[in-house]
Amino acid sequence: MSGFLIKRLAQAAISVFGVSALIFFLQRLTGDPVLLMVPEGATQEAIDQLRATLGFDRPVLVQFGEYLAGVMRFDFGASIVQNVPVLDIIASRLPYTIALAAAALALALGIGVPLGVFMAVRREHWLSRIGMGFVLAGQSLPTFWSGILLILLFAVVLGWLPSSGARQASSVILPAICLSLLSMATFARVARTATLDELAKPYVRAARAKGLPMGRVVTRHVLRNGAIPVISIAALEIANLLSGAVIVETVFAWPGLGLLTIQSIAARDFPIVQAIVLLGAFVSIFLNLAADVLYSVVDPRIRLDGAR
Amino acid sequence: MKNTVRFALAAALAASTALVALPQAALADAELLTVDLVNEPSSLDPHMQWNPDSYYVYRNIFDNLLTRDDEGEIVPQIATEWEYLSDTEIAFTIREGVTFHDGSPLTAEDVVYSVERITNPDFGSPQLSQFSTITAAEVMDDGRVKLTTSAPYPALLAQLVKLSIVPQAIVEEVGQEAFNLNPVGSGPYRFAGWDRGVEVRLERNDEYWGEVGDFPAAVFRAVPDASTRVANLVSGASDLVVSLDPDLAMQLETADGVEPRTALTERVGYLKLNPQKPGLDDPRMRRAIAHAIDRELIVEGLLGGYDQPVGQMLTPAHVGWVEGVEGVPYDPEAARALLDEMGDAADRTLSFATAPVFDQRIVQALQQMLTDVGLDVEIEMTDMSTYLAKVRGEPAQGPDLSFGRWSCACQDADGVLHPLLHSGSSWSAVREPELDVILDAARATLDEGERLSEYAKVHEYVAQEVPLVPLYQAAIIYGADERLEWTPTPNESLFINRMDWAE
Amino acid sequence: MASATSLARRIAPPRLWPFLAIAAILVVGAVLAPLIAPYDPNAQNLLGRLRAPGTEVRGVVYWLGSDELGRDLLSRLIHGARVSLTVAALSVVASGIVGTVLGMIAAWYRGIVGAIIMRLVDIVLSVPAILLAIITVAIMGPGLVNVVVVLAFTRWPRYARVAYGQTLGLASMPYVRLSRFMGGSTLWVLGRHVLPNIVGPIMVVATLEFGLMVLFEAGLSFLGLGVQPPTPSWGSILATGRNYVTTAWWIAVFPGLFLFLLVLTVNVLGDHVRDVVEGRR
Repeated sequence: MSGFLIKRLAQAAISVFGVSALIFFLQRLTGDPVLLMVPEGATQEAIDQLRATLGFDRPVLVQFGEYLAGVMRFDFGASIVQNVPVLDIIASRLPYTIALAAAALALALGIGVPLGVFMAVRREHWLSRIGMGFVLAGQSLPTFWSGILLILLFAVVLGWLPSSGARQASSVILPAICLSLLSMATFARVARTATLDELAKPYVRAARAKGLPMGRVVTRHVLRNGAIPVISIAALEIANLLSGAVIVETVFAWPGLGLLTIQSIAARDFPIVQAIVLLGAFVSIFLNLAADVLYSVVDPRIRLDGAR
Repeated sequence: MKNTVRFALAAALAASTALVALPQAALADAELLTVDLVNEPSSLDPHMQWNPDSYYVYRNIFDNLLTRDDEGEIVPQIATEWEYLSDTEIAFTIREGVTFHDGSPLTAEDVVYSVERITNPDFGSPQLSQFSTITAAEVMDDGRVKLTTSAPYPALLAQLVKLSIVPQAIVEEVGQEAFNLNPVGSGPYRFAGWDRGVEVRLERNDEYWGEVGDFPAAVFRAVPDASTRVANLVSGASDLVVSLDPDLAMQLETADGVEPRTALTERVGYLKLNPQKPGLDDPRMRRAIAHAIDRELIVEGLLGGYDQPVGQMLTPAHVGWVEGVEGVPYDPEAARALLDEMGDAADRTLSFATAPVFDQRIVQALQQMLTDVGLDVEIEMTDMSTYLAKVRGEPAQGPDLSFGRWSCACQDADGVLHPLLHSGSSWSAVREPELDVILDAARATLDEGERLSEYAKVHEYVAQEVPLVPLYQAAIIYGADERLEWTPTPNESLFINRMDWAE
Repeated sequence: MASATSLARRIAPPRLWPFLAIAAILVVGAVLAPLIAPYDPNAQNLLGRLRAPGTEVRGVVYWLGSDELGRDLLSRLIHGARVSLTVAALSVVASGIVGTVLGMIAAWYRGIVGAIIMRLVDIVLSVPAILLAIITVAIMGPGLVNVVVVLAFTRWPRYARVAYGQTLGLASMPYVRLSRFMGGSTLWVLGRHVLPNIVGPIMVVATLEFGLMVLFEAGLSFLGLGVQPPTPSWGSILATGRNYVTTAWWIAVFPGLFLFLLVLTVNVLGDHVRDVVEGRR
């Protein structure tokens, strides 16, 4: 176990370095923020001056060395456009991202998984027949479209919920619904398949033959064994929720990292983008690692160091 | 390590405020003006950035040396009067009794400090180029402030409209970074707080020397999606929203309690042609392009009549606007004839650069008009940064055509025509020594009559040689609660102290 | 005879027929777009903007209404089917091939090669797709092909993960080991014994990805990074149309409906393919 962890952590360190370097150099191929900062008609001298003041006139390798040296000291630099330390900016946005992703994940799991299990256990029920179509429909609309429809319906016509922003706690509801639609069908599908697989196993038949009620078999055994695929998909879906949030956050003016990402990329605010990518890499690698470890906890037959 | 701890603390703190303390609508709705911008301000230090969303906010916190009234005339703000001592020296009398929000008086030294701060190359102000002709600032014996320019500079006063006065003592005491987080000015509203990514709050400055505002407080929110801004306005979540296009304005006309508000600005929509590219180096092709474009149809048919077609690369709001310049008329037959004359040389796919921030309907309509006379035009839409690098770079490598909307925020021909047409400017694709002489002469004299006659020559050049096709004077469209008393101004400012609820 | 019918019913049960019909109509419509579209999808009429469905302007009948530049929405939707389906199909094929090959290689060699590839998978999954989109457009310029490049580049890890897991399992199978022992080249063993056995699961991923690709292209259009105007794609029509929901509903409703039907169809069929491949039902 610890050998496996050390190996994976070493690999993770290398990949984090790799992604940082890649993004650092690729970003600098896309220009720099100076032209976006100066007024129209700014003279070449003024542009060169600002470029020099911001340090973009130096060789890229020198800039990269400086960046690395900074990261070693936990100094991620300051936003070029906002003149505020990157960590402060990310710290102010992160809670919103977590709140939105958590709310969306809760909705997607809370509706998707029970629905999936239900569809497997009661295959002939009318709800099972339309259930999948229902969640698939939610997944079949672009969020920029379903988002504006949700706003028009719940904020403008009905006036029940805030249309955008993050001024009230209830502001999170609409973007969370919008975002959860993307993952709900996935969870429903995985939960249904996993449950079906378990139900087909001999122990279920044996338990049923012994006269155990179906509900107890499902809650005591099936759900536990069926949890593995759901966990592994959830890890993937968290990454999806975080990246899918870019458009949802734009539509709902939700001040999370997705909106910050797209704005920082557009503004060529390199230090922020760099930090977001670094954070994203850590989260993604951690989630994958956590999913692997969780498998072995849920199902001790799975050995961490080998294939399944 | 300290940083990590700070990060963790800040994150925890932000999380608790975000999730627990969100309901904070302490002020009655009528007391609070809510404005939806596109993005949040990048910085509220008035010398550290140049973008509309920051300007909308910080202009309420800071007073400028000069300002413009609702009619667009340059009028006193911190300077009460001014006098040219020579062609390159000008003396400003500084208003007395003005105090910063911390109670300290605004002095002539603060004005000098502000000029020196923004013109210091090492400070790195993005606005440097607007003030770079100023070589010295000093307090004179009589208490006035004298500015010296490197040469006679006719647009100086227009540029000084953008010079915000910052308090020397505070900036020096707290330092750049802290001042940025907690800006202190002398304007009608004081800075009250900034939830990053969410909103900036301002409070009324009751001790303001000028017109005290009617709203006790205001918040500026960032709402990037225009449809969402409209929904916010219609649902009553905001009172004023910026940056709508005419079709969204149409939505407001059909909704209850809200309406579009519009003003013609000094921004000119134009098509830039690149004479350094094959085909386009022939004036016939450039003229053909100009003949192919129906400005009236774009303005009336597409832009809902809010904007105004122009035949020169300026607006009536500019110094340098010459009455009666017609520009190249719409004449598709003439365009086809010119292209026929050119034969195979006109047979080339022209790249047409644009960016998502521009109105893509106009770009596509232009493409269609050029296609109608037989040209082959391909739109290349890239994000703004890439677009700017392309249109500003070496013209030989640049796009054939590009769409743009130009404002120097100075209402002076020098800020438009010099950068777009002078061979020494990186924004220009024109390399014409004779034109350079005219442009240099027009900027070297303070005599307005003389300048007008020089600019008339430039307009004539543009109409003859067509390095640019001026299209229209752009309107700015806001959406407002119909009870809000406020008229938008040509210089794209939101002065909260000029707003009130109608009784 | 009876068994043939039951096989046909298993592969295409009656409840799927409506979806198969939709899929067929969409594909045929996309292929024959120039023949069946009533008008030029890019022909504008600034004096016939935002007309309701059924309006006639100067001899042009806008069956589904006209858009913000007075273009015929129906013609744009028909041509848009072509663009949307092409982008989705090409990016699925490209990402599928790249991902499958890399996943197989990673599982076959394991060790350092496998680790590098699989960490690369983690990396790509962690980089925001929008960042890659902007970088691609900045470096390569805009256009349909580059949209495909962006989509393929961000999506191949999905296939790599599946191919990796499947190959890992197969590599320890006796017949694969034997074939290797008998001196079969890596390429031959992978192509002959491994690939045919993992095609099923890969197809499952591909069908589900297809729907996602249509949505991703729409998202890129919304952000101004999609196919170039005036080229119609359902995503780009919908992205502009959403600004007209209350004034000219048809510009958003029809592409939204078509897009919805397409993605729903792909998802339903994909679900079925998965069930068949995995031997359920």
